[in-house]
Amino acid sequence: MTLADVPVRIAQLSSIHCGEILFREELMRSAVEQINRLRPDVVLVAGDLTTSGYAWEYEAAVGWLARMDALKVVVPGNHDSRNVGYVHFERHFGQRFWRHRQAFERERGERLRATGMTIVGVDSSQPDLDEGHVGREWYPWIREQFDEPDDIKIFVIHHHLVAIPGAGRDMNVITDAGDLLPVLTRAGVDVILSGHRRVPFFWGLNGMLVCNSGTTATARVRGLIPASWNELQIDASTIKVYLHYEDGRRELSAIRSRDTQALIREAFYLTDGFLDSNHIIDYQQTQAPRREGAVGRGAAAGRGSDTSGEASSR
Amino acid sequence: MVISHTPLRIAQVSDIHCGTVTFDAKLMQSVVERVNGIEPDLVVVVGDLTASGYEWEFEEAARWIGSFDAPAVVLPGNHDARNIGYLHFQRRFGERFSRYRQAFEPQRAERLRASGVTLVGVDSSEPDMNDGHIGREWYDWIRDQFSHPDDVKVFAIHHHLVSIPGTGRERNTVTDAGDLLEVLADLELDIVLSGHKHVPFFWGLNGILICNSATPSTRRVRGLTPPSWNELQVDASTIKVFLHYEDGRRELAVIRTRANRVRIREALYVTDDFRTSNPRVTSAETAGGARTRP
Repeated sequence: MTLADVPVRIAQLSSIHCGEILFREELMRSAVEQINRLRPDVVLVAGDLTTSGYAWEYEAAVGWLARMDALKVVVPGNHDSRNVGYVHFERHFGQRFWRHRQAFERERGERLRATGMTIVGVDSSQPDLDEGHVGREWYPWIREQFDEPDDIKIFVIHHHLVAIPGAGRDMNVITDAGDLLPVLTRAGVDVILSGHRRVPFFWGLNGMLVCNSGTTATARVRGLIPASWNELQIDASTIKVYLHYEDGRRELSAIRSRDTQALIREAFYLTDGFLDSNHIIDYQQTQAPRREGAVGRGAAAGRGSDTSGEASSR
Repeated sequence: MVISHTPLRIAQVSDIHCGTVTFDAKLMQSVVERVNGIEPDLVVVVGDLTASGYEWEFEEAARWIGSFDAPAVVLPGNHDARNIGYLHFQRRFGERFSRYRQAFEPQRAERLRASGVTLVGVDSSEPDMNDGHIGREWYDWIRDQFSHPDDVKVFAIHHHLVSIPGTGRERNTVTDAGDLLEVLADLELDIVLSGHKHVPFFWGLNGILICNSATPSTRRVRGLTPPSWNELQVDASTIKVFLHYEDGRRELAVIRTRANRVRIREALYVTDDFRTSNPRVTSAETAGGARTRP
């Protein structure tokens, strides 16, 4: 392993929108080339591969993704669930909820101060609705997927969990954002990746980096915000996000210190007395441990799990 | 000045709901006594004074609020804008958007590492709707109110800006939360006070303490969350929130470090390049300097 391979590299794409009249093939082609040159550990596609969930749109999207060499984790967006499009999604990608874990080899782990990387991706879409929802049935499953306490923990969801500026007045935040966010903070999630409104933006919430991406390959842009995709680079002390623009520029956009992350979490301390007195969190813990359906889906998601570091990369 | 008066004390009371069938006058009386007992610098009533915005409900609420010894900043909630209730609100409490500033005397300022406190309260209600909304027209005005950079900066709004657990699936955050949060983060705000869904909860967003209060005086509670109100205490190194419950208990609920507030903000650094490359032209830039209250 060379030194340059030590940082974790993630390509975050969203809103490819194959089938869209404003889809720009040349943008997608250059994104594929740049991503292959970047040689990321993983490509995360945060939904809206298609415009209307049609079979031919999925085929086009799958064709583009096949040209990317790295391992891919793909979740659907609201557009992908239109016209029963989730059937095509499942046909092509197997499942709508994912866990991918990559263990770092010892030297890399030491340098990155992490045992590996756990990525959990969920389907926040509801057929033919634009608003998002994950649902209480999934909270125990999500909690269980983040079972490596010293991993870098990444959560992928198409819709926003915290409102993003310049994203309009439509319902952009999922209906159960308030209940899902504490599940993620308690799991110690480091980064939340979303797409949806095609606005790149960043928030720091209770020590988590909330990282939103724009549209990779279309002219469905908002105001003066250009098409772009995100490159995340995680080293021992920082999480950096670079934006790759349509004109080929690569620009450092956000830096999140990993050193002060523990400090940030400590600097905001909720007392146990408060949590007990108001029964804020325990309703989530009193959930039936596993529902029949969740077991099946959870087990299915095992397909994407525990990919070894070497097998998954390149 | 006695030492114990050095910390800034704010009583955050919301969702009193005068006129609602489970409004408990005895409970409200004890809230008033305990609020007066902590001798706060300021009482903030974060909306939903009434159940349906009726005149008699506002009269009752005004009587209760009038019995607080400290200055009170009052803003409306969605219930107060029902049945054209905002007219009664304005008659009794004046403007729906307000600013309160208190400069600290030199000794206190030094001890608190702040020149004073600025609180801006806004009306996020829309007549007869439960949805909240501020509107772009107000962003410049909000920016202008926080004119003392070294003050403790507090923003009060009835609806949520960040989703709160246990508040159901209805739309609880204001429709322009994304745009407004960016305005507030740029102002390096310290605290956002909200009410609305009767759930006390806290978030830390880009160094801002998001502080939600419950209902202190009614049985309109959610699940097992008891009625309560919030006492905020700001000293040189921390912001603490104590919850006061109906049974008289006062419980430390959250501690926010002020000492590494700056570090928290710097720990997430968004580059100027990014802002230039992804322009979100705000009214501040298009208003041509004419920042007037709408």
